[in-house]
Amino acid sequence: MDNRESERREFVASGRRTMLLRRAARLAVPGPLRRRLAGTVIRLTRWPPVGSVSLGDLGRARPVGRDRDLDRGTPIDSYYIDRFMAANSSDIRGRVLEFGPDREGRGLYARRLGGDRVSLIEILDLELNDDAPDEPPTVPESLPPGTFDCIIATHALQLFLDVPAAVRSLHRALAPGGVMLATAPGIPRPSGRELAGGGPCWSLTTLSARRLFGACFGARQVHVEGPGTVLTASMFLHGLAAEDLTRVELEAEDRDYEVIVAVRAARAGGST
Amino acid sequence: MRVPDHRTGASAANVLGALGRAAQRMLPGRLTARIPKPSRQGTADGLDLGDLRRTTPISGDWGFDRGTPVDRYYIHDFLHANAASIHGRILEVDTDEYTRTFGGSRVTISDVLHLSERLPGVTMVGDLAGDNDIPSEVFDCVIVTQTLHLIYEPAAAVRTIHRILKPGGVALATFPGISKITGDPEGRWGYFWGFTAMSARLLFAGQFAGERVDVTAYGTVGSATAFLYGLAAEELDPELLERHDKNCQLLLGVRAVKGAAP
Repeated sequence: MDNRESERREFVASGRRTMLLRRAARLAVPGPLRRRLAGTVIRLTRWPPVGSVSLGDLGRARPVGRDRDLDRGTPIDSYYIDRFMAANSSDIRGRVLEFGPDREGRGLYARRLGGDRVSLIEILDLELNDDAPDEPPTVPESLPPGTFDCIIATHALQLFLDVPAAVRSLHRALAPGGVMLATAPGIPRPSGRELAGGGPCWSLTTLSARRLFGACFGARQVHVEGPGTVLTASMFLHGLAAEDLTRVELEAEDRDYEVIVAVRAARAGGST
Repeated sequence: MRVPDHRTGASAANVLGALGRAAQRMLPGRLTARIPKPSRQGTADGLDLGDLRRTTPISGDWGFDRGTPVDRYYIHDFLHANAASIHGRILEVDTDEYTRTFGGSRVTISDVLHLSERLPGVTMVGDLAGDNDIPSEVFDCVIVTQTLHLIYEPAAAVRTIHRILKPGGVALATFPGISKITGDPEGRWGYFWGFTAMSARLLFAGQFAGERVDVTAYGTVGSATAFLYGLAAEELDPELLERHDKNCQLLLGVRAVKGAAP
């Protein structure tokens, strides 16, 4: 009998012992007391024990970092967006369409990363409904078809109620071989700008992004990533900064937590 | 046991640290190797991250293994507040848990819908978002908790919900706003959309046109953090759970009433 087999037998035997003990306990101890005992056992057998976990400053009811905009440093979602855009900066070339506004301080990715590969920058401002400022913006329908070599939509798609229609419309505006670089929140935390317009509609996941973009671009033309861990997600919610964490903590990955969802989708045709 | 502020939290953690060190000395190495070392680190400018400076959650099971998951706590809150609407013939998805808990003796017929399998207790099989054989205008109340975010086209499911409600019937739906995500690794099913009060309202207003749609947002940044780490509601200060912040929507509850027949 090899080691593994004896381990297996020991495992089965211990399971049987536990079951017998449990049955005996059920017969001997009345229901309410049993439930209380079970609660005690759970409290004492979890690690860290139930009730002993300190949330520190993250256990406050209001965010620790006061206003996320550049107050403490780089917002954690911006860290991931910047990383994604830098990794794909060679796609930013030719005629570029980028969602505005052209915020002071950070400016447009087309300008920061495109350099002299970029021949033209157009800014797409969201069409807010003036009669109903609290409603989501309307999907841009009138973009010139087949025009842009690159479309940059960082944290914009979540604002539209009909996200599939927005993606379709942007896909049409790409030239053959053109590339769309899009990001959206995986965890919703409205920024000041979004609150002014009523706030975001959605957070996305890599699953929905793959389906959304795959429907227009074809699954093989779409690359999706969703960086984040429980730590970066929580720090992000609190408005804390990338500088509050180590590089190892920022670069760790956990598929259950996506702080942002980032998509690179290339329109078929052309040389890409 | 509750952790009302970081001072008691810190002392509890100190006690734990001491216990851990004692255990390291007394127990054989192969046991203590499994005990995670308590780590309490802040950041350079004195920010205290308590026991949360770790890149893995404390519970991988939403907190079920420690007590009541925080989203469940809010779902109970929402259904408790709307319990009077849970009467007559009810349809619930997957189980009759909430029909029984909150409807009690007001329920005359309890139906349970499952997407694909006739499991014990399931009375109807069908896809809320697709073609289905669920009869029209028969339910006084439809309870759909934590389901619509798993559907790529949630509007189709809301259309069905509106169709199967009696005039005057009530839909009670909850969805996640902030949550860890789940899904099948091959992408056959899973978490598509995190909702906000805005999309929850517009999604239902699209089908319940001109009818009554009320949205409630639950959660604070602290309770959302605890939920992400898999801590249970019982581990949190009640104030942390209850001081809802509209900028931190952990869970959304929608109550939509189908208009009476003309």
